[in-house]
Amino acid sequence: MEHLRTISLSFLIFILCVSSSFALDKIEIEATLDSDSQVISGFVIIDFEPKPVDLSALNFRLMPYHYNDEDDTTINSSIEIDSIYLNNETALVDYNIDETNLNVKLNDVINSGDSFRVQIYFRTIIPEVMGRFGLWENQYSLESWFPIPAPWRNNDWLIHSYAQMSEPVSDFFKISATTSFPDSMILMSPGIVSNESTGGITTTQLSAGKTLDLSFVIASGFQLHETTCDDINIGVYYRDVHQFAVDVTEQVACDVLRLMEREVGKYPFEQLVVVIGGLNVGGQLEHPRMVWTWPPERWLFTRNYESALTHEVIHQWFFGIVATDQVLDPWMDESITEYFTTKLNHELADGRGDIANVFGLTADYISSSRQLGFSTFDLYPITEGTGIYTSRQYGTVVYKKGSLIIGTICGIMGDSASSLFWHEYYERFKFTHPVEQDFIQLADQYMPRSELIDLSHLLNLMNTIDYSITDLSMGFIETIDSASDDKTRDEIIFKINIDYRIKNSLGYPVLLRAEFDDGSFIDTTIVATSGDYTWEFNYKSRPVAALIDPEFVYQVDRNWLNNSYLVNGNSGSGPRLFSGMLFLIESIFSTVWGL
Amino acid sequence: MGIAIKTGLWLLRRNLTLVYFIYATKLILAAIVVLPLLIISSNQLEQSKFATILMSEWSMNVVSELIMARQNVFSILLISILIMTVVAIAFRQFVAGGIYSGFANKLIFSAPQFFSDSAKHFAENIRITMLMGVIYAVLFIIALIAGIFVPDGPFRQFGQWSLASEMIRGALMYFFLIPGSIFSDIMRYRAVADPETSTGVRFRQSLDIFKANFVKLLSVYYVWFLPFILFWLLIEWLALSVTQSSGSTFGVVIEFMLFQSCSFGRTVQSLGAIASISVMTRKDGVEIEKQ
Repeated sequence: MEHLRTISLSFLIFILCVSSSFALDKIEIEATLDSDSQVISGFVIIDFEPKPVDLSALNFRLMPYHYNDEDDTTINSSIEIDSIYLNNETALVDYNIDETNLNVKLNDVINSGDSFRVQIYFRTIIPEVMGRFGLWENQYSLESWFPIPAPWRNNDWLIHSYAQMSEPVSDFFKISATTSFPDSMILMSPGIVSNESTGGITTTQLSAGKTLDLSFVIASGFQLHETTCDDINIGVYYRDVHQFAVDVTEQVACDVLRLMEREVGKYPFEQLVVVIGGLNVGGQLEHPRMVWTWPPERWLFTRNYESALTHEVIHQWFFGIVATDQVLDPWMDESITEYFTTKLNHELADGRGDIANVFGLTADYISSSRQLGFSTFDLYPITEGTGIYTSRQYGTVVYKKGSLIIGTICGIMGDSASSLFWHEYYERFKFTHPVEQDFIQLADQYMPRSELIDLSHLLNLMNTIDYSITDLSMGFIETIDSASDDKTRDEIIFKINIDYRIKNSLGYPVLLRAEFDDGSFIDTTIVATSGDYTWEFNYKSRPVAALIDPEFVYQVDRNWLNNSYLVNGNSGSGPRLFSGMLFLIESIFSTVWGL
Repeated sequence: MGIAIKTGLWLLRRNLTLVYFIYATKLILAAIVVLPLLIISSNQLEQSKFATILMSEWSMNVVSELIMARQNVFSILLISILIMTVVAIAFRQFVAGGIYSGFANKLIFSAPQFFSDSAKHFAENIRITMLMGVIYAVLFIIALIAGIFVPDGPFRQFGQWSLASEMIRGALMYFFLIPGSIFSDIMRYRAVADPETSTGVRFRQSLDIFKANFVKLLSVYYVWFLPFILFWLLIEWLALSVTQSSGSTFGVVIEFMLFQSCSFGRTVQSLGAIASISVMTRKDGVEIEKQ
């Protein structure tokens, strides 16, 4: 009997766990923006699905506290809580706010298996500041502006301490909202159902559907241009002054949606919104089904804007759909997104000069990633939480070094295995919250000779590696007569020595190649520890080059120049650099002299 | 104006050695800056297949790898450029006396005379340069204000159209700086013609000459300047075409020769313009073309 009870209880818990992982908590918001007092206030109703454990407390995230600047006390953003009700009747008065966490003690335990409703009346004070949460030049950029349940992970509330570079971490909810604001403005967001204006107030109904958050921009002077990319509506909000960027924005958004469908999986929503100038500081910012860009400048090099937009649209997959923890595992959205940014940039530029290609000058995104990534390569692994990095380190380590490491993993997998991996990763983890081990366990299945690969070591790599060819020498060992097709001819056999060096070996396989003057080549795969080695072999043709990792699979290799050795040199790259620099310096002197 | 151009050509022919000397000095100073780069980088680049692309395009990927492989390259180059720029400015002030004295007196270039005149007028040329620094600053501010009036409206695009807008803005700003350069030439001519005069008096004399001959001075300058701009654009186009099409040592050699012909052409253009202006720099503000 006892045994039967245990089985029944286990079954019940299992059912609750399974059901809670599929059913979404519902959030309904009603709020009014008071532009005179710079406050958005109202209430939020959360209908919680049953939890698999008893609850004695509830936790909510109050993100606006995160946007205060410790060094600037004039910035004052907060959420004041007026009242909290449980199941429409019980007032919950025992609560406290610690940093961004609202902890509410329950009068009575909520039993596992019971659904419940919480209603919170709040008042959010909007600071006058540029950025992701604030008012600037009559434009309200509002991210995570209302009380939202803390993430529920492993049968408990996950309370994060948000560091400088941390972005909001959230579960998926079904969110709908009614927002009122002065009718001189419009609200820009995905999921707008209706707008009604009466008495100088506009009321916008929003149905955000399955989403992590509800962010929007409220401002005047914006227009909407819509286009359709396959079956996805792309809405671009812009001011007149930024009309020049609308076409480029739509084109990039559409290209990325299509390419990411091929690379990872189909975008599961019907709409993507871009607000040009939604972010009034540098950079661009991802929100669920929405991107805010900075106010773009007219300039010859549009790739900077396009690359940033590419990055943010890719975030719709890695953050917006595969919703990893942006505080604990920022690499799982930023490094992966940056890897795909590099890859898609290259493809969108037809493989040449994807940052710049003008007047014979070319630059690729990956070269800037390498330059920045290696500048702090040995400082931190990419797998730390956001709290450890300064803002610069966050960019160079998590974005740049991270993209090199993800690129290396995909390179080792090979094109076809990596494509399969990303599709499976997406299908398996979409609308869930995978962690580092989930990534490693799945990726491991797609690594060739996985017994050699310690993915955890690669993700936590601190030493820069360097594969190099140090010398190529040859000699004639013999001249023999060989008969072939009834003809006799002399055949020279070359004895070839290729010296190569491996510094800080990863212990993974790497390709070694010898190229010959008749156009042929020989490949061999080596697995070696750090040290100096020689590849000796005999061949009928004269070698012209030796290469290690010729396809640059190892993006974490610090020096790609020494991955090859040309017997006769390339007879010109050094002199051409000299010639160009000489002319440039002469021109500077001419300008200074007027001669 | 025709006589000014002819006189300029005539003076240039008589002073070809001066042209070679200025060009060679420029080349040598620039080479001193760049040679360490060649020495440091040649081994890294010459044996590398990755660097081969540099023979057909200015690949920043290769330059970036070079900087990572030899982290001192960039700092060495920057320090060299800064030091040599100071040397170049000092050199320019020094030779100014020789150049303007030679053209004003219609001398055939001789090294002892040239360096003697250079040394004699060195201090005054430094003073003029300092004064011109202030004048250029004022002109630059005017140019910036003028640049604001170039409309963005017709170029509401990213990319090449925005470049066109910026080029028009740049050209307009340069247009405001050119009169400063011409005025500087007049001041320096006055310095060699009448070394005893105070800088203040010389400034007023130069201003009179400048006002009296403004249109002709500008015209002479543009007659020398515009063909050079076309020549420079042609050289850039040819250099790009030859390297992109060949991607070989041949292309690199041809490009080097084209670049140097352009650098030489810049010296010819500048000295030619200075020589032509010499005929309009009498202190009474009257042209001497007909004399």
